Amino acid sequence: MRRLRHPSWRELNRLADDELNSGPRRMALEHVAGCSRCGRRMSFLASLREAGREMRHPSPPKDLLDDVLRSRNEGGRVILPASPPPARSRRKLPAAAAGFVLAGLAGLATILLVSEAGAGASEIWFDPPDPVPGEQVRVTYRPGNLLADESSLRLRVRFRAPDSEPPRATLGKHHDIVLMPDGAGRYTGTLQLPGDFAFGLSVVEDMEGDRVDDRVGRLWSLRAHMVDGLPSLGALRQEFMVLQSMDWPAAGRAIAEMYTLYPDHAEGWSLQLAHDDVTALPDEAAADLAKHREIFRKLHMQLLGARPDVDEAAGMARYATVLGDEDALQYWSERLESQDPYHRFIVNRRVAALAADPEQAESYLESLWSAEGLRTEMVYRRGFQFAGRAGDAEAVRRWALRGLPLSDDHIWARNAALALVAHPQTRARGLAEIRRLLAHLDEESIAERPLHSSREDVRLDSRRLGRDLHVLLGEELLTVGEVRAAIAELDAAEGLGGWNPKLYRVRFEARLLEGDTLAALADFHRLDADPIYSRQSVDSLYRRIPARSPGELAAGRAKAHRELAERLLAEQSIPRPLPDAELLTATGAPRSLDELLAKRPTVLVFWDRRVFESDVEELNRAGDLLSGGSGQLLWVTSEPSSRSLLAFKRASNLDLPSYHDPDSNLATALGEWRLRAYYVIDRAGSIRARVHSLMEAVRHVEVLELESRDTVLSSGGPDPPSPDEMAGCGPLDPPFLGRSFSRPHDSVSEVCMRPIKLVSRSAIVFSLLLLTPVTFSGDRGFEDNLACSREARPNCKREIDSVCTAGSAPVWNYYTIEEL
Amino acid sequence: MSEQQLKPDLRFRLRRGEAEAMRQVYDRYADDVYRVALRLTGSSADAYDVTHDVFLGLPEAVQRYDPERPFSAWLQGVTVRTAQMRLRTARRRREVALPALGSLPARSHHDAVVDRLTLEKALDELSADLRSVVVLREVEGLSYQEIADLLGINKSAVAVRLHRARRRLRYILRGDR
Repeated sequence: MRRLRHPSWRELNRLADDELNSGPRRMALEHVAGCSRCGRRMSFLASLREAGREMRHPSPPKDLLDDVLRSRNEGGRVILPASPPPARSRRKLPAAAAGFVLAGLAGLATILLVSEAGAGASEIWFDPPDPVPGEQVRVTYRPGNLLADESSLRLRVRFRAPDSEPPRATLGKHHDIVLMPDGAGRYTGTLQLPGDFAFGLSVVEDMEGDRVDDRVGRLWSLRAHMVDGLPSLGALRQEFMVLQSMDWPAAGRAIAEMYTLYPDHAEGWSLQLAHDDVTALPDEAAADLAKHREIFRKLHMQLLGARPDVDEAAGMARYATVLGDEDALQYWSERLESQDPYHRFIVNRRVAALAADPEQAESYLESLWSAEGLRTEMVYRRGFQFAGRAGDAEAVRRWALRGLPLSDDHIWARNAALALVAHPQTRARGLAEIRRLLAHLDEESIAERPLHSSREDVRLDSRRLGRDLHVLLGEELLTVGEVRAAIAELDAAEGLGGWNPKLYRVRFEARLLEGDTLAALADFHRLDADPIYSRQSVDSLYRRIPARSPGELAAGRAKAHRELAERLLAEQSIPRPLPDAELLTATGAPRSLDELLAKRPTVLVFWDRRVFESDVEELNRAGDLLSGGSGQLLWVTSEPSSRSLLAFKRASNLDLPSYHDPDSNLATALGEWRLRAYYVIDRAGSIRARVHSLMEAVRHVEVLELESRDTVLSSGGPDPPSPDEMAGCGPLDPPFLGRSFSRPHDSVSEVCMRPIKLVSRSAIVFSLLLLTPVTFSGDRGFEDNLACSREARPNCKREIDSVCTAGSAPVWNYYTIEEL
Repeated sequence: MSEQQLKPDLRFRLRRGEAEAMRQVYDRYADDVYRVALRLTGSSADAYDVTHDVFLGLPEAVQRYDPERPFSAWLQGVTVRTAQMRLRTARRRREVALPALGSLPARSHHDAVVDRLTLEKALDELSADLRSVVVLREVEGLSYQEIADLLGINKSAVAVRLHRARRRLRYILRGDR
């Protein structure tokens, strides 16, 4: 039956767009088929579409691309709306109406916010999202699984002011607010921004601080805005400062916003030039330099007739510095100094000029300290540094005493306290400061912890820092002759767990001074057993211990090996799976992480070029150490591959392939947003540890490998040689014991381990007894010694093998395999 | 990798603002960008500026492009939003004065078939919001959901704007204003 009522205009539209459900659609079609009015309307809609499809498709004018490229070369930039705006209304309602509407729509709003954020992810909304300094901000937090169903939560914020110095120990002033549930699955609170607010970073945690939602390491950020809605220059500056130590490409984007939004201010341009100086190729850098000289010239002319404020003058002075324009630098420095004689730029420049003469530099800083209002942390740090460089112990202690109440950076406080410990007059104060620092590291002092740290993280960090502090204190005390006190500190460090070669080295000296050679020997074995401790150092220490038989040495080393394994694996040994991820090679080819790991023990390193240069040597050394065995180093960077990166690697002699994670997928899956991180991955592809230094990671891999061999080759084999069998062999010469072999960290025990590694790859090579040509190639001294021993004293073959392996299962299992 | 996605090496070179990479992307996508810009702004001068701005800012904006999604769709969204911003904030330049509404071809009060030229002129009578949905639907052939995603509005709002826009066009073309 034909429908009587005419479909509405809206229904006809939906019918024409095929957006009506089947029932209404069928009825509407039936109606239109018999209704001339509705038929005409449908014809109109159809012709509209037809005309739309027929609209001509013009091409852009031919010179448009040239125009674009020319604009870019001239420094033109545009911030595009690259992401769609959120699909929710932000209109403000009168206060009274807003209350009713908010109450009524709370449930609906929740649904919209959830769908917007996506399932499972936590999110924070700041209202207003573009606050001005001093404003109150409403915070709404929607928890993910980590913090769901808590009775209340805490938002921890670090505030930065426009002129805050680059972040060091912490990101800035600390502030907490409590978030209460709103009954709709979210938590809300009010955050009062300080009057000097420029940039803030935050996390949410439970009230005990055990679980921290840090947005997978990224943190939530909030910028200060101007009244016109633009982010302030100070906000962008602080964002850049924070990001440059966390995410190099993102820091580059902050710079881009600076010079795009504030093209008349030199700061963004000078940062861009400094950034390009690192990332650009020489020919690009030359072109950039020409472009920047022109921009600088324009700004200079623009500001000549104006009255630039201190910030603008400092920006021009910095820009001139990066450009290397001495005349302009002189001009703008003088203008800046006339406005603010103690501006940071002026002080730094003066200190840099005096750097060749530390006494004069220290004297200049002393004069600054005497001036009213200049007792800043920056002046203290420079003064402390230059007093140390000048070798003036009294001045060092003077600056240390000044800095202790001023600095919240525990590394500076530690150094200052240690400087005080070195002198009898100030030792008590220094020791008190060290004790205070140790107490401050205690897990009760969690308020000032880094944003991303939970209480458990603080506990682990405290142990590590406490160990270091005890060792440093022990070292200082030993230097001033307080041997017993030094040993007490070192023992306290050992009591905090972990493996610390520096501790063993210092205690070795202390125990020899005390005359306790037996105890010193234990520390010697620990250093000898350490897979990455310098063999030259072990050689030198060997000459200072009483002569020991090979069996005793080997047994001591084996015991130390077990201790090393226990201490390392006990601390961070819980395996967890490594997330699937795809990385890009330098040529842009995708490679799965599994493929790259190839069942090899791996140190996965997250590093970026920004923090790279000074550590290249260590990275190369780690790569060498690992590739000497079966391990490998995987360098992952968030920076995309580029010719400039390849040029940087060549210039830095960095002989390591890079794998790129440009969208930070792997870093995000691991919760790593800061640049440096070291993961130890075992052969099964599981994460075995996240450690704090590269060499620590290398040590960890070596220990895992030793453990793995123990597990795989744990049964069978002849017993170690009896004392009778060993009789007549006598101790081996120290040069044999401590020789440097093909790998920098080779020791006798490790060299002897090498055949075991080869066994698993090819049994054929085991037709030779010791595989000397393969394993020890290039080390004639060792071969000669070995050959000599074999020929002169047949028993010594057994002896040499016992040195390699006595008390350690792998070597005797090696015999088992060989006999097979 | 799909042809619709930007190849990683090209994306990386584009991010660096390399001229050759920009040229490649421009050759492939400039027609689409310009066409959408022209339809949305109704002015070749504005379309020129929008296209210029889109390619000028592309090296920075591409850092927010999700490489898993088709590049052309993302770029279309950027173009639409850039054009909308321009329409809302800048004075629209008319290179050719539109004929007075009365000079549009006389129509009967009955619904009539629309031709291309008439539609082009009539679109200029719509507000930026209404014009956007009509262009995206009738010219670009996008679904309600795709339009909603592009404009950051919900699907119902798209339907409402679309039927209002068509009603307005109908009145304009019939002389019923």
